[in-house]
Amino acid sequence: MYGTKRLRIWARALFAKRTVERELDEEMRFHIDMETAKHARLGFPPAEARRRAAIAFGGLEEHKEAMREGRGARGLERVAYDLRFAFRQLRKTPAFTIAAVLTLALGIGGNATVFSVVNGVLLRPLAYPDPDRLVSISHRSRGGDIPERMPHSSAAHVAYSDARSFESMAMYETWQGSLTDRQAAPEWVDVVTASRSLFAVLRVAPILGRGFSQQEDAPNGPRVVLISHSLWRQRYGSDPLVLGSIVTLDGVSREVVGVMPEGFAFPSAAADLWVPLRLDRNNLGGFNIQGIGRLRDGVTPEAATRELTQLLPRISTIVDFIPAKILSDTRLRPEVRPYLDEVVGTVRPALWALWAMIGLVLLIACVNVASLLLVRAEARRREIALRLALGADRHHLLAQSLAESGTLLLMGGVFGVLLAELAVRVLPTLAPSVLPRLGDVRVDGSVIVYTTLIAATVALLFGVVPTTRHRRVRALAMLGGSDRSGTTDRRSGRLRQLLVIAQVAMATVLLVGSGLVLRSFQKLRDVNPGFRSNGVFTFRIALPYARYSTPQSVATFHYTMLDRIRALGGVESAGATGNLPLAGYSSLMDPLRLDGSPFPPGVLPPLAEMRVATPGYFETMGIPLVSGRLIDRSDTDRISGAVVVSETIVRKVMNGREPIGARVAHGLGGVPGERKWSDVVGVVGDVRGVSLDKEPIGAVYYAMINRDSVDMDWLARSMVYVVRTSMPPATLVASVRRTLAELDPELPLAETRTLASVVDAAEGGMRFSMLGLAAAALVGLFMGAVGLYGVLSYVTAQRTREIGVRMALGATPGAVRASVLRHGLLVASAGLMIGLAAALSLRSLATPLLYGITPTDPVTLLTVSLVLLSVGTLATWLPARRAARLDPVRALRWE
Amino acid sequence: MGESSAEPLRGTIDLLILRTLSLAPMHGWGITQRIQQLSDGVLEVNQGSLYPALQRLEQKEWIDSDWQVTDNNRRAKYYRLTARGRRALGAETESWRRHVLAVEQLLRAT
Repeated sequence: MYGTKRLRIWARALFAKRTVERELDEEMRFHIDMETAKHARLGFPPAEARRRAAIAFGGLEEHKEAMREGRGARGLERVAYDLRFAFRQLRKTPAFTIAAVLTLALGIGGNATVFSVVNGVLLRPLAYPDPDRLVSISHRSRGGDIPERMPHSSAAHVAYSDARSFESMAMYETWQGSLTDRQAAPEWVDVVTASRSLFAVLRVAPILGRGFSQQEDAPNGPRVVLISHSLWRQRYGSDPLVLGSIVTLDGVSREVVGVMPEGFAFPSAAADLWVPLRLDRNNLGGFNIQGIGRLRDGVTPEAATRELTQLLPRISTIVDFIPAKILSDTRLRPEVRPYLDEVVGTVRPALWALWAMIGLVLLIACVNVASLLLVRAEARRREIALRLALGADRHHLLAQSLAESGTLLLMGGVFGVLLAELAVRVLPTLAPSVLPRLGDVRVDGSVIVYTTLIAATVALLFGVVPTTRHRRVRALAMLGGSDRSGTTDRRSGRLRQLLVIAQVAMATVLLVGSGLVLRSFQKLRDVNPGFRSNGVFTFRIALPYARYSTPQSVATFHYTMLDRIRALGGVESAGATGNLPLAGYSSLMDPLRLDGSPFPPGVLPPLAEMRVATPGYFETMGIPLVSGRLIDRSDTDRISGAVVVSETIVRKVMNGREPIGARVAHGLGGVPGERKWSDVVGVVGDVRGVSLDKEPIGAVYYAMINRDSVDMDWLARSMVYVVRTSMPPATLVASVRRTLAELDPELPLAETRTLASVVDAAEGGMRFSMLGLAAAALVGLFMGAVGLYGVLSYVTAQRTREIGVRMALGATPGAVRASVLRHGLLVASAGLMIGLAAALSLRSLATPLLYGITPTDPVTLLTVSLVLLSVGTLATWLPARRAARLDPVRALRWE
Repeated sequence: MGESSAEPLRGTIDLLILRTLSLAPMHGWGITQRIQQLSDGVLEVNQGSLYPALQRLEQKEWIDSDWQVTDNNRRAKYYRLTARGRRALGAETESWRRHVLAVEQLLRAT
């Protein structure tokens, strides 16, 4: 075919260039030889014959060139040639090349990394069929003493059960417990209690066995469990015979009925087991459970919210503890949101901010490389002029310069993607608990496409600017050598200055952003959580019902365990509680009533956290006693429970009454006469239980008691121990394990960690945004400083002759230095002003990330200004000093 | 190289090459010699136009080439007419004749 032959010729021209050239040469030589022989036959001596043949043949190289052109692959050949030329040029100036490639690699790599995260966490749809129809069902309130955002409620679930916006709805909650079976040692596992309909909502079925049956999801139905693929693989060796076997979860025996598919991670990758919710319509609860639903095709979350809002009032007819008045007082309303929002949660604003910031870093990088190339282009003006004078094609010169930028970009891009690949790999160790969907973060096709687009933009931004400058080179004027005699070309000088101003401005925005988050983090660290975390080690021990069926046995176990721990050498104090503050558990909150001051019907009493504490807990945690006494061992045997309340409770509930001796009770339900009142025996300091940036709600600490009480059993069966010790954690864990094995060898020791790490994890979100932004800002500041330094050095060098003239005319070194410094600081200040203005206009982006300060925090803005100006001075100082030390005689001769 | 010899008219070199190769495969130099002989020394093909023309014809796949050994044991690139080239030769000859007739007619018209 016509086309294939041509392609073959092109391919040969490009890849077998040597052979093609050799054949061409041979063919030409053959021709001349034959011609020579012909002339020789006519009687000319050999030398003359060859001369005549050569004349007859004409310009050999010219013919060859015509043949090369004729191959039609000339364009491609030229590109290959230009690239090789560019590569040689770049190798000749390694410092420039390394600087440019490194700058580009940082810019592109940073963007590829952040995009991988943004793509995996925010953009990629969830791994369920039709994921955009999955919604979370929660509630929002304004008014009263209840949290603004409330989860779902089983009572509301019943009220909404015939909503037509939904194809299906489900409820779930997560907890942790100990798993025991004949396979291996007891294990602490993450359990999800969920409605049977969850799997219909998600449209995921077990790969082995079956889901829950109707009967199993009903009260008093058979106890069953579904296990995760990873648990199946790790604990049961992927044995299909696990189906039908009996395992014990927190003392309750359950039959394994199914194995979920690999990668099924609902509601998070931590989930190991799913058990049926078994909703009891005669015992519906408050707002303490999560809701998820699948919308019908075409229904928006807003429409679903509207429908649920109309159905909400039914809740008062379903349960009597949520009267209509409470609903209206608290202005409670349902909220249906895309489920992805629920999963992504609070990292969304941090990621958007990070993305914007890393974009700025890339811009700075572009500007840096552009000014590097500009300087290079300036330095090569004479070479370019010479080549133009010798007849070089202007377009070809442009192409060569583009090839150089392209080669730089290519190298920067490759290193950048490698950098991103590396960063994405270490990310899970840097931000384990902060980022949801970490498994979805990877450098994949879309990241490569994004990076390529970025790189193309970069090429446009930095590659074309310097090349346009060639166009203005006047061949003759340049060869005269007069180009550097006076000041530099005014236009290029101005362009470079604008670039530096832009750079400083962008670095300012970066610094302000990271400075604000840094200050917030500082403020957060300054927050007194209400306890001292240093030197405290914690772990959890949960007691199964099977062997610890009575409250007495539970209390006896924990007290014995605590006594033995206190007896270990190196232990200062020890205590236990139900859940640690700041550990990420939704703390159990209930309305709190005060005996003798009944709330009017329909008014919601203030909420309080319900906690349990053993003697030694407050001392170990460093929670101060304000008045009265702490819980002691005798409280365990009291008929009426003893409680300790925190200061906020005194303020919110006691209304100025003496707290010690008052009687309080948790909960809304039940008949007033039968309410179980507890005596307040002491007041302690407040603890931030939910999160560091939220004011304390106030807590009521119950003593473990010896009598039958459902609440108490729920609170005390699984306890977190706190141990203040000077022992290294590993030693302590070993001793505790031994002690535990002596008491009960079947109990797992779970959640072993330091209290400090719990607090660190609570700061994790802020720490993540701070580290990310700080890294971006540091890179940006560094690049900005390098840019400023580079440009000033160059401008100063360009002005050498002018400075020489000035000095010859009597300017002092001090005056010269001042002039250079003034110039640099002027440029830096201009950039700073623009940057501050830009940062102010972007403040809404930062607001959701901040704590305790406003986006216009004067301390941050002032510090950033100082930092920038000092870096600017530093970057200016060296060129200024160099200028001041110039020898006027040499400067005048400077070329 | 007498003064009587002339460059072939532009555009006719393809025709001349095709015609020459229709007799037998030949190398580049041989083609120039054959054209000279057949035209009684009137037409002389310049190397600067011969080789690009050969390359062009090869790209069109009217001719094909391979390396062979000549009578006096030299390696040379031989060109040969393809089936496509033979058909093209017919068409080109036809169009050349029409062209000549037209020019002739024009010249006689005065």
